[in-house]
Amino acid sequence: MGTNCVEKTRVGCAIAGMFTAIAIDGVLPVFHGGAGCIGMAEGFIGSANGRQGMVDYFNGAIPSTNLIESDVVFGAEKKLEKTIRTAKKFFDTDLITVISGCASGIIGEDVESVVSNFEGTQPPVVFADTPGFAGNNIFGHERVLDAIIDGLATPVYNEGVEINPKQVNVFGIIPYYDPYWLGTYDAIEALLAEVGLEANVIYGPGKGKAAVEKIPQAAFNLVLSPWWDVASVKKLEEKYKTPYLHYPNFPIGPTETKRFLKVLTEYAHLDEAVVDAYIKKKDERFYYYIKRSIDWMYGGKNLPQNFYALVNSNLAVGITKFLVNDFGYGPQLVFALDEPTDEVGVAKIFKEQLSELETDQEIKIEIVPDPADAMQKVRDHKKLHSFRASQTIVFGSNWDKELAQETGSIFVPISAPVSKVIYARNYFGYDGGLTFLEDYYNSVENIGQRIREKEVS
Amino acid sequence: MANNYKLSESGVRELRLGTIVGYEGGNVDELAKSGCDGDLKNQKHCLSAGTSCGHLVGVSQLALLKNSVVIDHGPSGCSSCFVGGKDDLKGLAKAFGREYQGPQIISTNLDESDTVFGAVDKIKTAVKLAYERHNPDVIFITATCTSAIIGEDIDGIVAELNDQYPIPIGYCSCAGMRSQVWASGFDAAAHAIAKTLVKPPKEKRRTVNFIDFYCQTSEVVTRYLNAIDLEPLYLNSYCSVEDYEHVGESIATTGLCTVLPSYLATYLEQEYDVPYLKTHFGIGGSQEFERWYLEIAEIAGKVPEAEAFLKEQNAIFRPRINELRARLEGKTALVVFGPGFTFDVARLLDELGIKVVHGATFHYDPKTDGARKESMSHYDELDFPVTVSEGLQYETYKLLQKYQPDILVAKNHGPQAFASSFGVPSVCLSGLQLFGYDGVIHAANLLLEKLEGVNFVKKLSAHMSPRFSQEFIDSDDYTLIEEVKVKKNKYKGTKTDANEIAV
Repeated sequence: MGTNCVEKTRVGCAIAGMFTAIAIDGVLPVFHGGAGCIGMAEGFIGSANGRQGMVDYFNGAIPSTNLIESDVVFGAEKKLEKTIRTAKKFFDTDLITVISGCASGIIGEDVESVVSNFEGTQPPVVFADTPGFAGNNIFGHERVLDAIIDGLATPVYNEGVEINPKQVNVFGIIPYYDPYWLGTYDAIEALLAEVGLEANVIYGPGKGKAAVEKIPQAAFNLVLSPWWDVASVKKLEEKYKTPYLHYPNFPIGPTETKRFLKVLTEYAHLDEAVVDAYIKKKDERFYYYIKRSIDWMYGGKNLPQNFYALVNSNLAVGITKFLVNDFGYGPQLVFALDEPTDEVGVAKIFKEQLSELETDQEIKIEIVPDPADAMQKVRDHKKLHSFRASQTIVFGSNWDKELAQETGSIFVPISAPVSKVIYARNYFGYDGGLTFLEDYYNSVENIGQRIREKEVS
Repeated sequence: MANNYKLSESGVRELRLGTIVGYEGGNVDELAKSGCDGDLKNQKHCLSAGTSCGHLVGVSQLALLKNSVVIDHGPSGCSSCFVGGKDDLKGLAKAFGREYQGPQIISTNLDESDTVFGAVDKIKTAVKLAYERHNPDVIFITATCTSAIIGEDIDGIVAELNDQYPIPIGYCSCAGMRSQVWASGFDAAAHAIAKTLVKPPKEKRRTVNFIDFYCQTSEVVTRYLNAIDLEPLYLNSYCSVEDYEHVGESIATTGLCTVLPSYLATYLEQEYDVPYLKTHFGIGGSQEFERWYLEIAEIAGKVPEAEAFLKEQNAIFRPRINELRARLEGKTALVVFGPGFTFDVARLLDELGIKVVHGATFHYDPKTDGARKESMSHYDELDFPVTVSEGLQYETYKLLQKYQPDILVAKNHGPQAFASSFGVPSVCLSGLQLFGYDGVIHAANLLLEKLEGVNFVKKLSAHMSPRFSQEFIDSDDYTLIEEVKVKKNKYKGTKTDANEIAV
């Protein structure tokens, strides 16, 4: 958001935060804004990204006030009130989250007061103020998440709430926006179970209201991201006095997952023997698979190692650490294109994270507001540097397919918008590292041939 | 009344055509009868849903032109979704021998302070970026709700920019909140194309303008037009600036349905006397296709040749159509589309012996541009209940529950998820694949495929439970039209309902 124009955006607008509501079982969004806004948000964060649709509440049947010119002139608070009332009648829902769009924001609708008319009714109604001009989908996600927690967890919270010493609420992966979210949360849940903790994830099937209500009972909140959800867990600390562990990276592969487990062990006083046994088992298994593919990896070719990344903050740090520390790859340019709100603070986190790279090469992650500028930097960089030994790789979104072609790079779409079907696969931890490698290796086509052609020319 | 193409903005469908987005109460013929004099009242639904808007469809039209750049004057979210179809559309264009670079859209990224102070300067910056980055053949600046509400004078700045750049720069008034009918966005885009790109004709050519969504250059259309010495000129997708220099030179304009072609076709008819074929469409089964073909043949002065070719083609395709009809006869279908497809696909299904139990259409235009009343008269031939809603899928759910049809026929805006909830198979019938005799066969094969392969939906339905309330599921009201609801007192607790409606 800001003074710059944007082309080939990697973020949706704030109302796409409504998909956080859709990801929580039984939470119904009601939209106050234009008729096409939900479709546009869904188009970006859902169908263009993992080919994800809605579940249980469906596209074309999400209540929306569909504001038109006369509403803009005369106001539409009564229309909103009626829409909420009718939605309460027609839907089976645990919570209604009113989401406001640009039109509502500019004409100054008092949504707060409309929503307050429903105070004390069931299902409860909460409000997330998310006009598209105010922020992107990450901003929207945070507002929606905060509103939902306030709507479901706060009413059942009291100072004397019994803490479950094993319960960990997991955050840092934004549902839908990260198209691997469900597989990722499942993988984190499985890992925490292995080391003696109980993950509480609020998104996905079978979670919903009960999981949100349980949030105040956690021993601590865990955030696996440089900055996503950090503001929300800080609020939870204020609200419910729950401490949080902010691990400022999304761990992929052996080195980083081990580092994360060590940090977690110390923070949560886990049984070191159990954790070490887990690390040993998963590490060996990871390298078993790698060893099995060595013949292919070295079979008459040099797999490209120099890469460009045009991705979100989680992956910018995550894949850079994985590919450098475990594989010795060479990041050329790495961009975080998810518009961090606190640019200075996030840049500092990036720097700290990259200080753990096992390389002499100087690497940085650039925050660029207009993705088209980042793409141009890649073109310019490629022109200046010749990579005679091999091709380069572009890890990016589906907007970068043409960029990869132009720069003679292998194209691996990994960050929103990823326009391919994504089910349970994910990049988290040891197994996630293997999945990531599958996605890269499977994008390598006729490598040997191309290199030979290059040498001839 | 003729359309005024001199204005900077197109008129919305509600005002231009008397378009409605809410109707319940009669069969198609009744709907068609009551609409001709603009006396059709829009019935309101008690609950609306997020669907689509004029901005979404307007931008998509302009971004589909060859080497165009769209400057979207709004928050960046308003143009965020267009990456989704990029690779499909590029592939489609390539498959049909066209060049398409993918959508090139620059958002002015309006933020909170822009909504207070205005941001026309951002348009200038964006145009400069567009020119430097893409070397485009044309630039369109599109309006959004946000830029429209804060009153940005885009048209004013377009005049200024046209003096500064050697390429045409146009303005498209497709702000979503201008109209309840998303098809108004097609018209806004067509208005921008007409004003910015269409040139007066220099000579007549033996071409027919064929307006379709994704312009899948069709071997079928080409075959029939070639037989009477004509060539198709496909619009608008993947079209170059140069293509528009010749659209006024065609002998006629046609398209796939009544909705998309209407505004640009009427412009060509009004300004350059290019006849617009607005009555019959080639996707409505054999009879409609033949009518369409003979209408063109008449303009081309080739009726005997056309009749002979139809006879020859019919002899090839008819036995196969009859064979397929025998397998489909007696099946029932619920049809959910925009108005053009609803009524024409219903004809196609009828030819295959499938009974249309209900047609649900996203809007209804009582007349076409150019206001020729008789153009809708052949809707009399259709006889099934019809309802209108702006793609509200609550209605699809209730209609499926009411009719339990053998199949749901649709193409987009989400009805197929609801069919799966009832274990009802569904088929997407779309575009030029439905055209002519070939299209009838293609549709029949798809229908059979879906009707036979029901294991998936049967098992899926056990897991699909849209979270509607018991009250909604039990109600015998299958639209959410509120007037009707008050009259029939269908819902429990109707006292409050009446109060709500008074609000």
